[in-house]
Amino acid sequence: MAAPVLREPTYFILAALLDGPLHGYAVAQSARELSGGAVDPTAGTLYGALDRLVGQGLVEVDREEIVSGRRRRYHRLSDRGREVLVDEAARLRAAAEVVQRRAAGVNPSPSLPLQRKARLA
Amino acid sequence: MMNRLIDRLLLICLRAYPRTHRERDGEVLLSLAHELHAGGSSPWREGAGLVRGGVAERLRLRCRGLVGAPWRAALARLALPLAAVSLAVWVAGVGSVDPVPTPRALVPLSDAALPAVWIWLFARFAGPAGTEVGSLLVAALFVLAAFVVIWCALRRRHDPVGATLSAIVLAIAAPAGVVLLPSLLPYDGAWDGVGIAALVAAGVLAPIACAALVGCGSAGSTSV
Repeated sequence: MAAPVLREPTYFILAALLDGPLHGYAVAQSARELSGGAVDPTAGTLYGALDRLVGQGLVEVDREEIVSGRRRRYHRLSDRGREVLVDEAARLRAAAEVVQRRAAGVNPSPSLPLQRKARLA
Repeated sequence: MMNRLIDRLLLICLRAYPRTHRERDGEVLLSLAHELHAGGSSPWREGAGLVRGGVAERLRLRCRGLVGAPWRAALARLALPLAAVSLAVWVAGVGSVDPVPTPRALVPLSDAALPAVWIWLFARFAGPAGTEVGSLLVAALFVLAAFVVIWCALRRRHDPVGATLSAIVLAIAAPAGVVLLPSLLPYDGAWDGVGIAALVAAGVLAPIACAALVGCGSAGSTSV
């Protein structure tokens, strides 16, 4: 199965879950902090993203708790989710290096690992 | 008072989600929206987020239904009736056109009927893959026919409005009806009759409109 393409909100939601199981509000807060405020999901956006990630097998439902009368659902990163996230981070790092080398006037390497989908397919 | 208004607003916005989602996750979703609001997010923003998420979820469910609909079976069942009707319309319509070696000789093509007969027959007996290919070819023929009709009608200035309308029927209704309509209907067996009737109607409408147009064009050209 090919790895899904991660958009920025999805990337930071998965990154938030690297710390362990989190409930929705904590995921939203963490994603906002990790992205420097660039990702600020609403409840609807976050729910849709988590639901889709669960469907793709990147995230799993951990448990539900009722805190102060509010029902909270905790999610955790699956092994596949961790693998996809780490791989995406490597791809972004390689992509950034291309620009940094060119900006510094160094010839870029012709075989950078930018073809993530081809490698994982 | 304000909190009750916000509760009410979020509850109303939550209704954008399909019932199954509301029953399964509504409480979690509302709690999350309230927590985010308490953390500084505007209730209007959270409400809009719920509406947007709900609509997206409904669209996603709808698309999943379209992909899973057994439209190939419906097309295969429709093949012979549509082929017969198309052939009949073509036989009736071709007599009104002079077989002259001008672009008007292309006009019978605008019926898209004779090729359609063969394609549909092929599709009927060629299995699902053939049905798919046949459907696409018929759709392509209808679109081609629409361009021919527009070209002929505008060049000879015969009822351009009627020609354009007929062309729109050909270009949009026919391919949509023949190829897409089965996938739009929630096929669960009970809809088979309605689906086939709608498809036949769409399939008949285009050739009839075209045949009528050909008749008009032919009558007009003899009077010039």
